[in-house]
Amino acid sequence: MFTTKNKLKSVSYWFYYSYIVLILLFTAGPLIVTFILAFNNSDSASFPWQGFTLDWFSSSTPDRVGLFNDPRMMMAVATSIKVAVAVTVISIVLGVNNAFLFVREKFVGKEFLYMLMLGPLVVPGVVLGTSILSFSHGIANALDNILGAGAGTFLRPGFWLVVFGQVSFVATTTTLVITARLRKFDESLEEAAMDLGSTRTKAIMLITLRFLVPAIVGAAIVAFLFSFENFNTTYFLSGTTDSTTIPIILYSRLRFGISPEINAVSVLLMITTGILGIFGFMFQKNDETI
Amino acid sequence: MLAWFKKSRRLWIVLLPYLLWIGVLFVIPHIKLFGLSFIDYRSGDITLKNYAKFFQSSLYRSVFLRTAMYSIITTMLTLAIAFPTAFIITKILGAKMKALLLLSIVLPYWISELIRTFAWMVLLRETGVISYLLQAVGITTHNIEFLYRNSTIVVGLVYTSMLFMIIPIMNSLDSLDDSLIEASYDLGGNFWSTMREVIIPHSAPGIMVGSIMVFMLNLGNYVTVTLLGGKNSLWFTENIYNQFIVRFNQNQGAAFGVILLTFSVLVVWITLKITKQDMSGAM
Amino acid sequence: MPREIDVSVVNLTKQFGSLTAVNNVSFDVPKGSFFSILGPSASGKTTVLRMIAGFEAPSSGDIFIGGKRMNDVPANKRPCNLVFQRLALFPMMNVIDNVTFGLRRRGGISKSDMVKMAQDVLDRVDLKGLNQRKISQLSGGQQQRVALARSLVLDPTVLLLDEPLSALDLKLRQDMKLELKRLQARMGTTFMYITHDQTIALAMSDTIAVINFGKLEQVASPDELYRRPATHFVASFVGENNQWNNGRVVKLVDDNTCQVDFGGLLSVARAGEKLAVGDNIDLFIRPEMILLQPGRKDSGIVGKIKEINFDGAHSLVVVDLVDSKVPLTINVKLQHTEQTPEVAVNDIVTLSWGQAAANAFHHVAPIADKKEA
Repeated sequence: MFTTKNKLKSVSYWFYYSYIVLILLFTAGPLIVTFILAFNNSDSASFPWQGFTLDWFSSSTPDRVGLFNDPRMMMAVATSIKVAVAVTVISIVLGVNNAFLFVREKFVGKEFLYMLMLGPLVVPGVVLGTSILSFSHGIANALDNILGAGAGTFLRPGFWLVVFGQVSFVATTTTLVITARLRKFDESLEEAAMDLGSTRTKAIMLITLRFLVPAIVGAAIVAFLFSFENFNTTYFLSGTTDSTTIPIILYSRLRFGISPEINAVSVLLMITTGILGIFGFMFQKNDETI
Repeated sequence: MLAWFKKSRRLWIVLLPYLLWIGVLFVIPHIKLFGLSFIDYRSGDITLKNYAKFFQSSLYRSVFLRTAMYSIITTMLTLAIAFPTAFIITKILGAKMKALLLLSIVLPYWISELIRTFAWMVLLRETGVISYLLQAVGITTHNIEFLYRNSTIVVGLVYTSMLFMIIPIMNSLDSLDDSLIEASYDLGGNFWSTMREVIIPHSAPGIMVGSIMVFMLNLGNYVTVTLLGGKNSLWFTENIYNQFIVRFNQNQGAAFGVILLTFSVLVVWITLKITKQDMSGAM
Repeated sequence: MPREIDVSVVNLTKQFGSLTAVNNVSFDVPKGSFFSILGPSASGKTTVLRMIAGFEAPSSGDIFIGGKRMNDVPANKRPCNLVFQRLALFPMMNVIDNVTFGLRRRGGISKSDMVKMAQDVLDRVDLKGLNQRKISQLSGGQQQRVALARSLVLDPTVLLLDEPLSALDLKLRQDMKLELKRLQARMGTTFMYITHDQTIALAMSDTIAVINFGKLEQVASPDELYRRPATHFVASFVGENNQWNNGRVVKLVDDNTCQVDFGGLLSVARAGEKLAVGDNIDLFIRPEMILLQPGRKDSGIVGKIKEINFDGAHSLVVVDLVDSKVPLTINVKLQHTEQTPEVAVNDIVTLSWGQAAANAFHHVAPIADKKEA
């Protein structure tokens, strides 16, 4: 597209392609190596290649504990899923709600509230985590004092605090995605439904929400992945095992050293994320034709 | 009052959940954090001690400065790598390649930052893949530790945040009509003058958004920095963590948090001022 | 005396994969003329223009501008400038920066000289006092003028225009059409104008090249195109026409004139190409060149008025021909003069036309959507 496509073209194209190949190598290379080493029959996560093995997934011998036989790791997987599901559900509800607020309603200070909505995405995760921690700490103490010891426990570091902490910024993302879609909605469709005899609630249910489905699915995938991979905020808010997600347990293990079992965990996460990501990507692509 | 509420019932139904979320999970905790930073951790009195400690301690100051410097350098480096990438993908390669490339650049970023950092540890540690490869081809005869160096932190940060630079720039380049580039050539422009006068001014908002996002991510990073930098990482977020979790000194931690936040807002504001962008254009 | 040639295109061909977008096209553009390339969408006209501007490389053939071969000269070094279809004004710059853009690329001109040159051209396109305006603050017509000034300030050997008027609304388009023609005459710059709109091409051009499916159909003056179309396509595309299909040549009057038969109706026509007795032909009859008389006359073709579409200056009368064995209708345009008869639906009328009003070509099977609305 630049100048005439003359002889120079081949030289510059060669340069462009090699640049992109280098970038891809940079972004995907480390992950591919990590993936391969999960199947290396070696006690160290490194080369040389010593044969294919699934030990780091399924072994239960004392010197090689595979991921599936590591109860703490499996527990963390379960916890991560539970947290992510809770965060996704709450964030989607909030996202749809906020989309209607910012697209359909007119009120003083709307612009300000919209900017404020972006806040949780802008503030560093560490600051977000600490501020929620100290706030919830205060409330929990107050509840314990007023209602008796134990009343504020759900606001102590643990499952629900992790969920709330993640919702604080995940809901911003779902709001952005769903708002963008709702803006494209032709409101006269809803009016047409009402004109044809349905109530406003029914019209929203049947027409508008149906229209939002692609955005909701897309936002749900993003929310799930955001929650699944979050470390910074979660780190401050997690307590005992019921809130130890995969990133948290991985971090504590990595501080002591590297084991090929972590490569196996990586493979598991890569596959899950890959499937979800590609699914979301396809969904968005199909959505464009609607 | 009730009548007014009834009249605007529809608004309140959607406004209340929003206020509950943003208020309880964002605004009030940050106000509380701000308040905590002015309170003495032992006596409970109002004080500026927590801030004074930051400005008096050369350690905290230098860690902060170091964090800020590396965040800025890394942001510029990320921009230098990401702009050509975004440009080549959007303006040079065909539409089919574009979707595929985008997918292969985006997908790794869906994977946890922790896994991505781990992947670099696998490559860079003393008995890691790169050390092995260097010995295999005979460049060196002993293991080399690539972790725990400043340059490693920079590589890790560029890697962690590059996508957030590429995507906004791609979006802004996508909206650049190719005929503007052709018009520049037609009027005698060459590659560099077209870049300088047409392409970069047009993608300025994308460059701004990307730089701001990457800068914030760098400044607030914890995982990549502590894992790749080890004990030598000396990143400011580590101080915040230590105050809260190790020393149980919420007030000092809160002051550090406020300092970090103020600094990032300040840098963003100054950048926008210098480049004459306003936030609405950038968002 | 042969006129100097500014642009010369020789055996130009462009292939995109298996598609031949431009097929062996040759033409010359005389210096100082207004030259149009007219064709339906996807006819290859834009590709020709983009090859001249330097944005596409020819698959074969040569392009000369001002006598120099341009094939290996990059777009930014060619002595021609393009006014883009959507103008491609730089939104990040104001008017004066847009107009001086090309001058700044040349270097060696002082800033004040640049502004003076730009101001001079802006005056010529009647755009004063808007130098500091942003592009988005200008009206459509003002944007057209900036785009023209931006290219003209470089004093190109030839100015290429890619349907820049098509984005304007009808009224503004009519005004700009005349203004563009005057501007061209005043500046004396060679203009090459690409369009699918024959009314624009006919009104403005000294010479028109008609192109269809990548092939050149005819290069001629507007008058020539209108009166003596060289091909079936030109006859169907340029001007308005009644098209009757599948007639037969019954007699050759001379080299250019023949008698044709449609279901028993005989009529004279100009032979647009070499025809022989018995050939299957299509006939094109200009609705504005038909004489309509009330009642049944001795000579001429008799018909019954089916409908009348009144349109001020012109009225379109649709007539069913009653004496033909096959159903035939014809549109007649009535000029409103004192002699124009008053007619009503179902009136019997007699139609007649001269040889110049009707052009006969060998029959071509119709292709859907070939002619643009």
